Amino acid sequence: MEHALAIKDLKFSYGSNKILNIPDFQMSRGENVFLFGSSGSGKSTLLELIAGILKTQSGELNVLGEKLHEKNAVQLDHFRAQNVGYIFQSFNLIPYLSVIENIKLPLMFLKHVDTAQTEKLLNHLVDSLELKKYIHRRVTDLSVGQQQRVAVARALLKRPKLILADEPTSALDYNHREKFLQLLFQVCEEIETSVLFVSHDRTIEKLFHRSVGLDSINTIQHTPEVIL
Amino acid sequence: MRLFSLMAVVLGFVFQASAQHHGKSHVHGAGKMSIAFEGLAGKVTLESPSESIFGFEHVAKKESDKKKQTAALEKLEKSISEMVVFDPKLECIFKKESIQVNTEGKHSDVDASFAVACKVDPVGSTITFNIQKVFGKLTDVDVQILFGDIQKSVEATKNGIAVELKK
Amino acid sequence: MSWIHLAWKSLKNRKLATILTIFAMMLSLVLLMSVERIRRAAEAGFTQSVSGVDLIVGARSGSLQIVLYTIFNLGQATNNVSIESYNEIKSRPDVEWTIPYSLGDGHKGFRVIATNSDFFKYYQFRSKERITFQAGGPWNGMFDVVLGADVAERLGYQMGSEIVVSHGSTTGQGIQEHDDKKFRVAGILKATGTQLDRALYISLEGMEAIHLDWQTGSAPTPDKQLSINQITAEMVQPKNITSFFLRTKNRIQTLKLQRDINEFRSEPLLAVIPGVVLSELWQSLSTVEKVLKAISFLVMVVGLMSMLIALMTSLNERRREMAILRVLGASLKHIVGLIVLETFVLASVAIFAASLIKLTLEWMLGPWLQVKYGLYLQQPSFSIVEVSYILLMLVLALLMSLIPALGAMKSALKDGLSVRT
Repeated sequence: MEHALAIKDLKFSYGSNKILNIPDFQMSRGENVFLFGSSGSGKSTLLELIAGILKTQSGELNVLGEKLHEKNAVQLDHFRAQNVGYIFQSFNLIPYLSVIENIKLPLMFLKHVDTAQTEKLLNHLVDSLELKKYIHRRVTDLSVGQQQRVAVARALLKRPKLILADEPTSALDYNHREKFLQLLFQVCEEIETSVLFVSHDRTIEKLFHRSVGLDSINTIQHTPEVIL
Repeated sequence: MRLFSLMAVVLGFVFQASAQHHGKSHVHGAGKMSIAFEGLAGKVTLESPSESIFGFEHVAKKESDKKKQTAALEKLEKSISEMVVFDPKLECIFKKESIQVNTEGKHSDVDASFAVACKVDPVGSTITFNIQKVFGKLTDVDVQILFGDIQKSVEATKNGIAVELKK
Repeated sequence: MSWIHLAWKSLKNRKLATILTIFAMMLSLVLLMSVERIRRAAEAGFTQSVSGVDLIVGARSGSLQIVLYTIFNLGQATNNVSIESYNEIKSRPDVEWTIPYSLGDGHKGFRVIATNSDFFKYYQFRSKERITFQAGGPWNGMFDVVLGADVAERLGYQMGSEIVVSHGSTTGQGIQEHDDKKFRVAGILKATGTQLDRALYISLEGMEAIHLDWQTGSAPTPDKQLSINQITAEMVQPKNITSFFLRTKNRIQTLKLQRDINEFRSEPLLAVIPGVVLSELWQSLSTVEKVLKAISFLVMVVGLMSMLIALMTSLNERRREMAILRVLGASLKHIVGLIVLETFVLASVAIFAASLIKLTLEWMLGPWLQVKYGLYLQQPSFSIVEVSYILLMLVLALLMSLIPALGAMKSALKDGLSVRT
């Protein structure tokens, strides 16, 4: 079976500041992987590379069978629009759009949209994420948990094969985190989507298929930032 | 209209002051031209200080002066269609009516009058003035234009000045 | 959801800045278009007050002076034209018609023009429009008066109203009144939108009659006053006029006639082609026009600058928004496009509002401008000049929006997904 993610000798640096050197890392399709690492360990850089926001510098980066290291910026944008769902830590939503407008936003960047299917999935997502009541509300009127659920719906509406999540639960308390993740996994399973979840908080790692420390796959070691 | 009138009056004086030297006085280099048309037929008149046409204003007695004068007046007759240029599509032809040198005291003027006949009505076309191409010393010609009900003026101070024949 | 919709919502989210920006842009456009409109109206006022007149003849003075006092009631004639000269020129075979004008008296700020019935017959304005009456008709008697539309409206006169003419004054209250010989309104002209509306018209004989008993420019003592029934037809034959309009049968003859009049033997006269003089005037007024336009363009620059500032200041707040759009698949081109599109929406709203305001202003102030300043707002409302202002503003706005757009692109590139706000 094809990999959702396959990395070989991926190196990345900002000028002389080396960030990543990952000799080998893989993720299967349908797998939920928890990737932990402290702040400044290069998690965000890795996610931006996988999302195609950053261009690779050397090495191979295969995502969903596509060679991102061979694509130009336009192709990367297109790849991202088509295949990757992304959930931020917070401030996920465009504040001046309603819930439904936020959820439908990614469709603007797609070339072809199957309207009937999308509408079906939308109803399903809205139902299972318990957003029905808020659909025409302003997103700023929602609680943090509700906002994160909107972000999930938005990330999944285009049926991406890969979800990248950058500590989306950090603003939630433990009970809510668990509930949120269960909901995420349930929906992802239904549409056969892999999840790569990065966080520094390991209290939830047991909920994933697999947990990996970034330090264990990245040969460049970062001294952890002092958190005051 | 008061505010506007005030502006007009103030500027009118400015204009009047600047226009003073265009008056009756004889200024070398300053000429007057009139162009009038009725349908296909027209008339062009030019009044210019003799100095600007053939270089002197005394009565030509010397043979060389006479020659100079005759040559310049011939040039004027021949070149009027290059000085006042109608659109070639109109097929306008100039014909001399009269060219005279009038001497009054120390000054002398050249008064020329041409008949113009066009095959197409010039209204709507453009006239271009290239007076200085022919007479380089005639640097400021006030032209008044009368084409049916179109009345305009233009100062032909350099080659290529054009005026559109429309309201 | 369309891109326009997204741009609109984003603008709405920054309501205050958006409204202020639109307001500034709109204001500059309204100003620019208004200056142009008034300029056009003023030019029309000058060039359209009289038409079909080949020559205006008066005593020799400045050529502009003759046109200004004859047509626009500005300044005064220094000398008169004798009736003999007038008749001599009038009877030449190449003259089609003439209209004599005798000026000098006024009525409550409006001037009184003495003329003859040829005025009603031949006078043309704008493009060959003729004088028509809204009430009554030309005079029948010596003491009949015809009113311009503005005079009747502003002073509230009607048919049959009695009017006292003031001596030697066309502005304000006259010092000496011809109150022993009153005029009766016999006709009121239709509004023309030209200087014609702001004058009273009497016959040359009427003008002569009210000055009959005057000695060297001052009112007669009561014992020397002539009563109306003492006046005979011979007594009121005009002896001179101020100026006259003239139409030749053929334009080519106009040149010859003009020359002959300028070299008239019995008295010094000046004949000018009105359109020629006015076009000279416009050439010198074009400086003023340029200054007004320069000011208007500065206002446009200010409007565009305020747009630029509003967009630039919003950029920092919107970095997060851009990151979200990026992650959803927006390319850098999309980010640039979105900001340019927002500007397009801003400018379009400003243009729409400006056009609406301009039309409303014209509709509301048009009649007032016409009455008060004699500015007649010509059709069409949007000339090629207004349209090019609109396009210029739009193009400049779009070009300027590239600055914040490229800025947004740069910071989106730099920020990636990790904007911490």
